[in-house]
Amino acid sequence: MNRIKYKVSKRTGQRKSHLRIRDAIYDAFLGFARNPARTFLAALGTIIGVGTLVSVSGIATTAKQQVTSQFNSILATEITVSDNSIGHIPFSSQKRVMLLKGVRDAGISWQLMSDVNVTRDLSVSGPQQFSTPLSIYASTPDGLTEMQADLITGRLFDQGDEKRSDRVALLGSIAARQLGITSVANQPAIFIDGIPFTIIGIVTGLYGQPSALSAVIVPASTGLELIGSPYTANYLGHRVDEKFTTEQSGGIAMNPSTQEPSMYVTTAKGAAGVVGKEIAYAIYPQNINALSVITPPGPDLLSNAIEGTTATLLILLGIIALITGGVVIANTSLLSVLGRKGEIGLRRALGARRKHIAALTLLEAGCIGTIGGIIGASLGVLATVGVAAVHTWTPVLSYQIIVMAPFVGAIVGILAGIYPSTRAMRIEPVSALQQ
Amino acid sequence: MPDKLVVLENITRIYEGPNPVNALVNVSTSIEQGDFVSIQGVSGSGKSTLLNILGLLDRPTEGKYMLNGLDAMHISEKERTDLRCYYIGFVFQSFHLLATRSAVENVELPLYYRGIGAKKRQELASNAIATVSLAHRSAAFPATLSGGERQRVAIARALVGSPKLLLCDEPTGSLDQKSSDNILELLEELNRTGLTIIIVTHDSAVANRSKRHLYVVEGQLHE
Repeated sequence: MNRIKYKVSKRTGQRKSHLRIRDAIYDAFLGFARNPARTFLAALGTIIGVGTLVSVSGIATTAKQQVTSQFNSILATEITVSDNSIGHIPFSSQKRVMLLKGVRDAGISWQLMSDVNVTRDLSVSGPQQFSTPLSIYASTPDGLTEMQADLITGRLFDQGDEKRSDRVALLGSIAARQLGITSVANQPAIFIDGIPFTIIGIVTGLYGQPSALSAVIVPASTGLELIGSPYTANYLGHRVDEKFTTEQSGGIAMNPSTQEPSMYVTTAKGAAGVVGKEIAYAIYPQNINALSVITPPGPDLLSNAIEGTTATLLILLGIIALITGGVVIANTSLLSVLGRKGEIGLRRALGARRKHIAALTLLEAGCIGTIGGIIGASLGVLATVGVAAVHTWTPVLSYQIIVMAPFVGAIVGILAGIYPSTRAMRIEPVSALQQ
Repeated sequence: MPDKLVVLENITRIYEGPNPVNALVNVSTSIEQGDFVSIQGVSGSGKSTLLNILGLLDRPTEGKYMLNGLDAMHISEKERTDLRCYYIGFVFQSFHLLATRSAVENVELPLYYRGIGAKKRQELASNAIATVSLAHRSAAFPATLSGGERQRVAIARALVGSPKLLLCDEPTGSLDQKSSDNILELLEELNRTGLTIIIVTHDSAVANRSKRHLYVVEGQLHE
């Protein structure tokens, strides 16, 4: 037969009231297990709070994963290379860039001049003329693609125009309206500071260079021939910001633009990162810092930003829900304490110390919080899977959050149980037993 | 073992307030081991106050209280709890059973606070249930028990810790005549085994089953 080991008071030599931890847990377990309705109502707040936290985390992680894959396939394909004032983009570099693995297209464009007097000759034989100041852009044929030029009418200039330095031009849709040109069927002519150009098409879109909507676009070689390179010092022995004379500029006297050429490169899906690192070596190997290469933000960066902005708000909501859950547990526990004064008085009469009553109340609240955490985590997982299924995404969940959820619930429960437990331990058995 | 289990000397209990109430005034008596004492009195006479003081649920304002040779006046709240835990069993008029615990689980309750493990607890509780002839109802919940059965469970709960003193507050107050007789017979039987019983009642028929009769009249004790 097992002998019972009692704790004895050193002062009085009497046996002490003593509650073993496992018995306290079992007692608390009976307390909430035998009152499922009260337990569920008390746990409801924690269920909502933990459920929100887990689902928010799960949905944000799932969305992040989704953004990464979507981003790789659609967005990360465009690179912009520009002069950063200490170097330049040689016009021959387009061919070199095209040799890089993963490059689909590359084109160069730049603003050739601004506020140039452009004249439309309404009647070649007559005196009717119409002039307006416009900007002039130069672009390689591939540069038009990179500028995202959408043709309204006519045609775009091609490699033949480029090779021959043809005096052809495209009009941005706004410039065409200003000049009153709506059709190129009759090959209308314009004069850029007196030099004739044939309008072969009208373009719109131009999302890569929106200011070109109100400009004239000529082939790059034509621009070079008439105006010279923007890198005047290298090509013609003049600086860009100096005013060209008619003689220096091949016949056109005007203000040359100070805008540097940009190269727009389109890559295969997911190749932008690698191409972006190689492109400076291909263009200007002697000084890779001479060029500024802008690659699209990496998918992780973007998805982290998305996760950061959306998840922060939603996690805040989850925390608020958790606090609400704690308040619900505290309120239910307090009501439970007040409703169980008789039981508490009885326990005190039977030998429970104040700390035993406090422990019972805290354990019950903690267990209710834990149950809320487990149910909330389960519902959060279900919500994440449900949202992912609706969008045909792959659900991605952090197991750490799921594992932590019951502990979070327990902590919320225990914190919420502190006040009710202090109320419970103060209950005097005499008054409680009279109820 | 001291002969006198309970010694009260000049116990006074005054409830403070705007109009202080002298619930007990200079109460002195002693109760020996194995006594079966009834305390009678009309409502408000102070008999419940006396029972609460005897049960260490309340502290007298003045006087001396010795329980089993221990000074119960000059001890801490924790030590009073310890004495209640090991020395005193309570039986209440309204039973005070936990509705969500079975009969045997209700009987186990005091043993939690003695640090007794589950197996031993169940064994002792089953024995106590058998003592009150309710072994066949040990798994039943209070709502399914009759009044007499509930009080038997309450008595089993009071006995499970083998107390030296059983304090009964109107133990038959909520029972019919037959159940009352059964409960009183059970108490008499327990007393015959040597258990000291103090029963508070306003019912003379119940009091007459005890060996010794005390009366509380306006806070004063008469034999």
